[in-house]
Amino acid sequence: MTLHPEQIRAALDHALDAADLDVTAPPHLEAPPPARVHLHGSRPMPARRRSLAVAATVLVAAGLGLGIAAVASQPHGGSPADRAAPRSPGPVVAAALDTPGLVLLDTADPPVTPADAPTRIAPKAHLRVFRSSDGRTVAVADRAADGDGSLDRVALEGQRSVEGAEVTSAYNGDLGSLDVSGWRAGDRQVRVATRGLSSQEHDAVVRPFVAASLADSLAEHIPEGFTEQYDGPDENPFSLVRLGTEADYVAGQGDDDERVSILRLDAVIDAEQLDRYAWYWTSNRPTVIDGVPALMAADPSGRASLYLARPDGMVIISAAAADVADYARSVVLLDAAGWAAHQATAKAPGSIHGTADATTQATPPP
Amino acid sequence: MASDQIIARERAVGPDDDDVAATYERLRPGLTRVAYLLTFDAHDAHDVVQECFLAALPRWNAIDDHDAYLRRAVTNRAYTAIRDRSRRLDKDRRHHAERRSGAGEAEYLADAIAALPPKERAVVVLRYHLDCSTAEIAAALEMRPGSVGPTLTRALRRLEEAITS
Repeated sequence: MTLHPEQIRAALDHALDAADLDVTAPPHLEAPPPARVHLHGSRPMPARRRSLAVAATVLVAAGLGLGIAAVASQPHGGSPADRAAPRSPGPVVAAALDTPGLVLLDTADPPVTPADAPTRIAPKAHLRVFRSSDGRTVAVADRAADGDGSLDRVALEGQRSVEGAEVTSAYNGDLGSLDVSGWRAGDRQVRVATRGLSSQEHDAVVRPFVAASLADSLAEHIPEGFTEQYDGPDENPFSLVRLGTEADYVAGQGDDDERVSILRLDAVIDAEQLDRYAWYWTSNRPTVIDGVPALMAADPSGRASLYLARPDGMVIISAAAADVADYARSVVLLDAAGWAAHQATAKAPGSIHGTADATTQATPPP
Repeated sequence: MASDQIIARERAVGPDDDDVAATYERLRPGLTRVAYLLTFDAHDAHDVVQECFLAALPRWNAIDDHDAYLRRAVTNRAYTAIRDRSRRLDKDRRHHAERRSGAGEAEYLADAIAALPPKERAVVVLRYHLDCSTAEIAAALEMRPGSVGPTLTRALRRLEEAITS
């Protein structure tokens, strides 16, 4: 039997009739209700982990390295002596320690940027985003190298030379298997962020971009199996807001051994800018957590990040999608007293210091 | 988020309230139908449409073609939603797609469409409800144009098998 288009259209019309959709009287435009919230019991503390993910998360939160030298790091994350030095948690970290179900794994290293590091304006980055039919994402941002060594300072896995280009790379499991590589090719700086690719696949995807950059043909390259989703200025809100960033970071482990990270930035970012921030997630939607506007961003790995846009700063919580709202509520509840105190102790251990800025605006793809 | 916050946000970024309201009223019925045919869930359909409008507000004045932008956004968001929960839906739809005695062909075929895998269902809806071209379907679903035809063929084969079984 061969179906005719009229039969299918009749079936679709029938489905609509049967649904009895109430679309005749438009309701007011309003956001969906807040996400479900529940709390977990605590689990035994596992072995302390190194802070690679810390620096990688900060790298991501500070703009995925998309043309912005947002957070500086000592090469290779600091000396062994630095790593072993005891640190007292800042207020946000301490508050997070009180979060039910969250077992502390790690806190940020001591301040990693010299206190007198000058704030600067990063050259505008050009962003291209590619996505495969199964949801994998590749984002490439390039800009002129500004020669201040910012790429070198984000040295999470050390430097290596590939096809004549220096590369520093990071693997971040906190935000759903996100890989970020920073490259300097000739007079260009190229940052590549991939989601849903293994580290090996990431490397294979990155190399042609670096080669294309060296050949001055970066704009023409499209990775095989991907289609271009966006080609234009980098519109990351960290490009829109000048940051004199102070950041607190805490990583922990909740139920099901899921890793949880909480990053608080002094940056004040309007709620409407949040969805521009999450272009690299498979899906994102606005929501409200205890009255605080937020953006819930999820990806196929089951991880999610929730961006809370508070008037006094931004909090990024990454956890299993089913749990992230729980932690968000805890942070919302706990930070009211702690954050004010934090303002007076910005240089306390447990803080990460960095600066970033640039200015671009564009309309992202839906 | 309260409606006054939404309005305040609109005013902060510039879109004209009347323009937003008129566009919402004009597009909502059609977009909701598209979202429903993709999700087969009335509540989700309304949510998807509202979320897409909310997401569009901050950049409202920068969007050249609101109709095309929102249609693509709704399609994309609804498709993403059904893909993310496809396992649960597939199980539900298989249950509903069992032939019911006395059900008419359109009714049964509608159930069979709802039981299609997310991408095949989306291709069918875009092709036969919105009369989208191959290029438009490929763009909306982020797939290669060359994959649209085979996907539609697979979907039609499933539907034919469903109504002849």
